[in-house]
Amino acid sequence: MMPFFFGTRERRLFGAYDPARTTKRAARAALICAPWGNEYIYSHRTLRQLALRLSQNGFHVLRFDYYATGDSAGADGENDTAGSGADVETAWAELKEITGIARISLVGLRFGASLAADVVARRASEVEALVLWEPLTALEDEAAGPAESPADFRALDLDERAPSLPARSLVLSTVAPKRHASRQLAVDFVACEPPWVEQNVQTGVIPVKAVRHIVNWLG
Amino acid sequence: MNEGYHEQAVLIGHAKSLVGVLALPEDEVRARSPAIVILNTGIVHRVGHHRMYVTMARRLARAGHAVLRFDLSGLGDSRRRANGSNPHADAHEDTREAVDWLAGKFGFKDVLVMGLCSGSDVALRYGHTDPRVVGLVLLDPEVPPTARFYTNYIRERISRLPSWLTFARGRGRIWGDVASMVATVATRGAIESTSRAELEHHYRCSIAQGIHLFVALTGGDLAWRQTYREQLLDAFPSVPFADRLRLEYFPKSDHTLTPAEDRARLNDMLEEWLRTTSFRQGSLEPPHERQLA
Repeated sequence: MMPFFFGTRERRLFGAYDPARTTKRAARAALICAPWGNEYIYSHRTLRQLALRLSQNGFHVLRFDYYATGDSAGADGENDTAGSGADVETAWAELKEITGIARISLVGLRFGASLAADVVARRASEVEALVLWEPLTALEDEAAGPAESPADFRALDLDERAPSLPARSLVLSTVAPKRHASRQLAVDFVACEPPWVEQNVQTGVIPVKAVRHIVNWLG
Repeated sequence: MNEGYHEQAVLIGHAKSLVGVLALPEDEVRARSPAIVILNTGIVHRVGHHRMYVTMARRLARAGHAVLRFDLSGLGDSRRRANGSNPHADAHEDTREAVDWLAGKFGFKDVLVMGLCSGSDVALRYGHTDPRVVGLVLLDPEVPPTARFYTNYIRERISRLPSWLTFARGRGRIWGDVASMVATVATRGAIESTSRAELEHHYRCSIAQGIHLFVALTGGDLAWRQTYREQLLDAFPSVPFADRLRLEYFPKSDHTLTPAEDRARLNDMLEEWLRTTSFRQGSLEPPHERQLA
């Protein structure tokens, strides 16, 4: 894995790049979009494992931290939904620059899934495949309260984006079978421990079934 | 844009497998001693809970220190050691490699090692084994129970109305806790003495080597383990801490300092302690090489 900073001087982002570990198949590229806040901290371990598995399966993989999160520049509280969306585009461009691959796949978890869907809806033709792992739901938007910018989160509603998403899109639910049943997208349910909860950093459990499901689905 | 510091992503260690972020003051030639190494908390990667180490590292870099946050092998983004023996030994070697890297690349002769919880455990055990270590910051290190701790804890539990209601409903843990603590006191010689003696050894060696200690304890969700500021002193009465120890207590704060104001207060204390402590006179040599790995 190669850690590096990219982006502009005003908005430096931290990236973790895993090159493909096999040359048996045509090179592909995947961008992983992490959750926000504590969910980002708790799920880091799982997303790293996902990146490793994808790289072993022939993907060049880029994980990154949104501005004002993780190792990226910016102080706590300076992040917002629009800015993080722009960061997805910056990371997307960086991955294309590194690999020379025009059509990439995106995998988003929680807020990262909602954000990826929002960005991809505007650029579906440039996307090979999209995996949305437990995107935020309307119920959570309301529960988040005003401090969590619910208006911004509601603006990321997946149902509105669904018609604009690439044909090869998957919603992965790991909490409850019918959680995303109303989505106009294919929904797969894989029961496993949610990696974005605090308990995960105490147990260290990786939801292997979900990680394997994503890797297999992307092929 | 960063004000007063800059950061580099680095791969360090003999196999270039340890992932870290180095924060340097804007004018790195004038970097102050000591350089600082921050270790993981549990299995959380190098940013720390609530991103606490990112904020802390940047602030200390602005104050003039070189600060390296990195992932021990097998944690965060760092690979496991190919010939890893056990996590404790690996963490010890990883820390040594981090200090070697700071010393080799930048010429820092004096280093401070910092950690929270398991990170403080690694730091305490490592510090006195390396003469380059002049300071340790131990956040919620393991502190053995004392008589005053048991008194405080039991008094607090008994005084809580909900505890009594729970007990009256047959679901209480009060007497279970009391019985457990009595048993612990009774058998302390068998179980705890190893840990206590070992910890005492590490503190004693650290003080003997002239290492300055900054220890902060929290009393929120760790009330089952520590209940007052001086518990560290009472637990190790024969260790001559004297003025080598700066001891702080956050009675209401939880283990990971969730409230932002608590983390800000900790950073204030650390910066002031670093500014006013004479770690070692005249031992900082000018950095001899400025090229990053």
